Amino acid sequence: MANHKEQIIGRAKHVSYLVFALAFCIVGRLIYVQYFDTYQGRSWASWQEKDFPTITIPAMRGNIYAVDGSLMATSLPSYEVGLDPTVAKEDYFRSKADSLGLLLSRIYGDRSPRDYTELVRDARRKKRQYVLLSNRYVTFAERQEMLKWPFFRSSGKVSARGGVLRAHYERYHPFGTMAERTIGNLDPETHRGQRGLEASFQTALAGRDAVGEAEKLSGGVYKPVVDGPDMKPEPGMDLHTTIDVNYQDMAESALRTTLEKYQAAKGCVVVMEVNTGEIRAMANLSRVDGKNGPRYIETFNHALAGGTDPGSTFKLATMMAMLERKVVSLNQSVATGDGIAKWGTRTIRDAHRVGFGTITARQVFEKSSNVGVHLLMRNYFYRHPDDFCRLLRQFHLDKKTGIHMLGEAQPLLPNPQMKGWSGQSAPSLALGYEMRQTPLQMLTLYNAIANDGYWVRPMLVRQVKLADEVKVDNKPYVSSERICSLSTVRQVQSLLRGVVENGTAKKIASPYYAIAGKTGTAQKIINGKYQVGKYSVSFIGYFPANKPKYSMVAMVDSPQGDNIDLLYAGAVAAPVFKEVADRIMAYDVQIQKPVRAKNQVDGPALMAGYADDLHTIDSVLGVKQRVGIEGWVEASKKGHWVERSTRADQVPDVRGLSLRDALFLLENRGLRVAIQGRGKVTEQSVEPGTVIKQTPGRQISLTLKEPVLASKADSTTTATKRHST
Amino acid sequence: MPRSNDPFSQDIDLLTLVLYLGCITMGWLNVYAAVYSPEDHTSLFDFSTNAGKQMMWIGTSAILIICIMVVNHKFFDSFAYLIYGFMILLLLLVLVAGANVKGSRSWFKIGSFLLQPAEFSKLATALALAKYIDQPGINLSKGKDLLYVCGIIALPCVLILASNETGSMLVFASFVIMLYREGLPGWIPAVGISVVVLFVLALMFPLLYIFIGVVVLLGLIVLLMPRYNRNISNLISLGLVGVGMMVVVVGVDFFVNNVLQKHQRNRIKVLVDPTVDPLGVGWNVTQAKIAIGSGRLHGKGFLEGTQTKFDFVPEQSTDFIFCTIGEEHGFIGSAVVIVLFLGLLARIIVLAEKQRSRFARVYGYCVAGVIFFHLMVNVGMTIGLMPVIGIPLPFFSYGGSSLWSFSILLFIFIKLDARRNALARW
Repeated sequence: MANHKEQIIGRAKHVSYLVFALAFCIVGRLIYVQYFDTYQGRSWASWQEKDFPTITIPAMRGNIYAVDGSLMATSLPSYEVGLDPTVAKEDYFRSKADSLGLLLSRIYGDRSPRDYTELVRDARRKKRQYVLLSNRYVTFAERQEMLKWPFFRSSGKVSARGGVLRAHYERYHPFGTMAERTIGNLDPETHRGQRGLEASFQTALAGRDAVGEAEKLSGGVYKPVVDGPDMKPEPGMDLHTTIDVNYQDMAESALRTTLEKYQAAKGCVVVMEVNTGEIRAMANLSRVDGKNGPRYIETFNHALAGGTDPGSTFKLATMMAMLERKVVSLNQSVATGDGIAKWGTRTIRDAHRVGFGTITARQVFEKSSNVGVHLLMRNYFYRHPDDFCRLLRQFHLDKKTGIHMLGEAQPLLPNPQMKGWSGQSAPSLALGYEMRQTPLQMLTLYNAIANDGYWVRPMLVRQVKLADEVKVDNKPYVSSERICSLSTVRQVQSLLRGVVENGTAKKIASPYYAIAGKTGTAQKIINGKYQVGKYSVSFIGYFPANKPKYSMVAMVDSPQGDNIDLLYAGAVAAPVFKEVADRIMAYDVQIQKPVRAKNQVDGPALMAGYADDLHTIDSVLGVKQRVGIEGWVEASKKGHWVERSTRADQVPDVRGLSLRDALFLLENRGLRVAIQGRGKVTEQSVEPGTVIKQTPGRQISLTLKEPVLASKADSTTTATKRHST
Repeated sequence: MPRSNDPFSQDIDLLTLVLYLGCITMGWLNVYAAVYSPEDHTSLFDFSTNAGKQMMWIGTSAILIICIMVVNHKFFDSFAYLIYGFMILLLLLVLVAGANVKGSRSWFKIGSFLLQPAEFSKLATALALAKYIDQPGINLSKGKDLLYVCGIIALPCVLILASNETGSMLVFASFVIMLYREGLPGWIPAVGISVVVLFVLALMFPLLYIFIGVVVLLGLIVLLMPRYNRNISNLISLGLVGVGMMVVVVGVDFFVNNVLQKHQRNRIKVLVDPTVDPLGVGWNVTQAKIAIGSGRLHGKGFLEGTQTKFDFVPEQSTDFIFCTIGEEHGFIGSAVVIVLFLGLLARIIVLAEKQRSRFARVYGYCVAGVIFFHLMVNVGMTIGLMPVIGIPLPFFSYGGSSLWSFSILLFIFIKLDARRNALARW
């Protein structure tokens, strides 16, 4: 029994020995790996990950979408075409080199078949393992075609191969240069986002490339592990932005026209939704002088990263501060005299050269009188600059907006604690000088007024999605407290309307809807001096003023012209604002008041069409659905839709259809269409129901006419009247 | 009211508890380091990251531990077979209803969480073994008893193998340690070890060399044998051993080349020659070695590891977590971890030997064996001492199933031990 017990104790010891022995093995091995072991003659510690030939399978970069789902940026693959001429066997190479040359010449069209054949033959003679066949990358469709070629067939034996198609992803913008700077671009070297949203959301968009050790094949080509689970790249996520391509287009074209007209240096327009801060358009154009005269392109995001002295648009903040401290009443009179006031060594002038005489505080703002603002400020804030600056900070003017976009400029707002603050600083500040505010930052101030005092953070990206899964869902940020009292908000709201109704922006008053806003003409600092005749002009405001939906800033820098009196903001920047606002008002169905049914025309303007389209139109317009119809339909005399038969082998009846629909139907049946006139189809040369095969030459000509509706003129005037109320 | 049922005043072995907490804390920090990306600074408690989730697993483990401490100690004894049966059911169920994760159908998907019953089957098997061996008169040198024991171990093994989790299945080999302690004839583990040695040799050298080696070895034994022992029967048995070894070697060769799947074969071959599969397993192993090798004595510092931070080491927060320790804390950090585990294992063995009930002792040895096996294989594979077998490092690797199962495994033993202390005082 004692023997048995000893044996058991012995076994417990054995187990302990084993545990310790193996632990020592591990520690020993650890020391060995860290200090003594080598891999290909070098210690492990000296290796870096980059020493291994790695191959990267790039992840597919995410797309950028506009608010309506239009694609604004996407990645398309293109392929570099090369050949390792040493792979194929001699007889295969000899027999196929000629046909390869022929095919290459056909697809590239830049060199003769012989040139190509000679290129690969020469490379094979010199035993070069890789020859680039053309500098041009081929498209996906061309690649599919090439996969049937000799040397490129994937099903071929190794002795019949050598073709190399290396994929590259290129960024493609379906809308061309539209919103170029906002969308951003990729660094051509690293393929990482360099600017704009591409840079701001680089991590989300890029996904994750798969990196693995590569095997060097002949031809300088590395082959990755195909079946390794780590070699699957994670695709990038998609950005769903708030940009509306239509608004963006409106903003860009209005800005471009004005910049060209005034030969200005640069400009920007930003349209933002008041309640949510969603940016609908962000256009930035700069002049680039080339051989064929100046061109305007997006090279810099002025709205986000630019910014100088805002000038008179800043008087809104000054006015708000004075109203907030109740040191001004809008009806008090101010003796601006001949428009010149002295303050220390400095002279403050009004743009209106003869002066405004004695006017009310309201008029001071509406006419943007510098002297008037100066005189009003003298009552209180010049003695209490700290309080003034405290209020400006309360208006959110000292901080970045915090928009999710790289490169936003830090606003500069001096205060009495700063070095360089002098007795001249407060008057400068009151008129919008000696500071830096970007157009976007100024816009948020006006937007807050439009939003009854609640400050809203501008927003460009609503959602980040991975396929259909929402990864990031950005909610609008609205401040929980007003930036100033409601009474101040109401008063400046009326002032901003006054600017357009009676003041410096009278020119853009619209009979159909009300605009509220403020002009700003800032003198530019060049070499440290404010220059006469060099302006940065802007108009910031919102519309429709009675129920604000959009706020907008339009800025034009250095407009040129013979008469410098015509280069003020009211003449240059305000019309840009107006043009964009007009078009948005016409476009945004939701802003318009519904037109009563009795004003509707008798019959539908569209006399025939495709039922699905009609359903869509109905639902957008909020008209009662015309149910139970499918396929192609036409309007009966009674105003409802009846089905129209369309047989594939017969010429259809296209009368009453729009040209687009008519072409769709006819060309799908293989008919060639000639067109005359514009509008809806009224006549067709071949009778409906004719068998297509019997149509001579398979040709058909259509006559189109604008539909004339009896009650049209009448209804238009009614609708106009309604808008203006 | 016996004191032992109050979870907060029991005689919990403090040293074990401290070692456990040490492991958990270090593990969590390393999971954070492994998922840490310098580009976006995530909080240690961000629940969308592995580190945040690990924190949650730690919290839930604490709840489980309290539950174990609250229940009566007899529960584990009485319900051992029931728990085992339930686990077998789960293993069957997962084959049918499990989610396919990385090619193995061994996970239950509950909401967004994945649960791997194979992890829990170890402790169920340990309980069942303890219960069986606890019966009076069980003798492991008897064929019938041994057969039952093997059956208890083999049943979950087969099911786990069916769900393609070879790594978890191999862990069951660790019960040999307990069986040896409980009286398993010594020749059985001896044969087992010989087979493993031959197995490795067969991979490293051509068959012919091994045959020659075996013949030379036997010849030497015969020469060195005392003359009076050199009788016919001894020579014949020696010859049989030789033939047996050769059969094993040939069998290994056949097994490796015809039975093992390519990726499994490469995992073993890569031990000897990292260039065998430089793109697959070789990649993991070389990157892991670079990570550990570059750590040297002090390491690069917390969150400073480049190899692990930039995801060069695959599975670095789970199976290759030791790389993070090696790279960021160097030899000192790695040694501390090993010492921590050694302390824990030694403590468990010492406590197990003190147990009065065979049930508790057997269970204790099972716990020690399982943790030991995981430690050896997991750390061994990252430094090229063992083939790459995907099993976690206890208490360190990221993952709820593994953390839960190891916590339960350990604390059932602590509970049983606390009961022993209570008995002793009484």
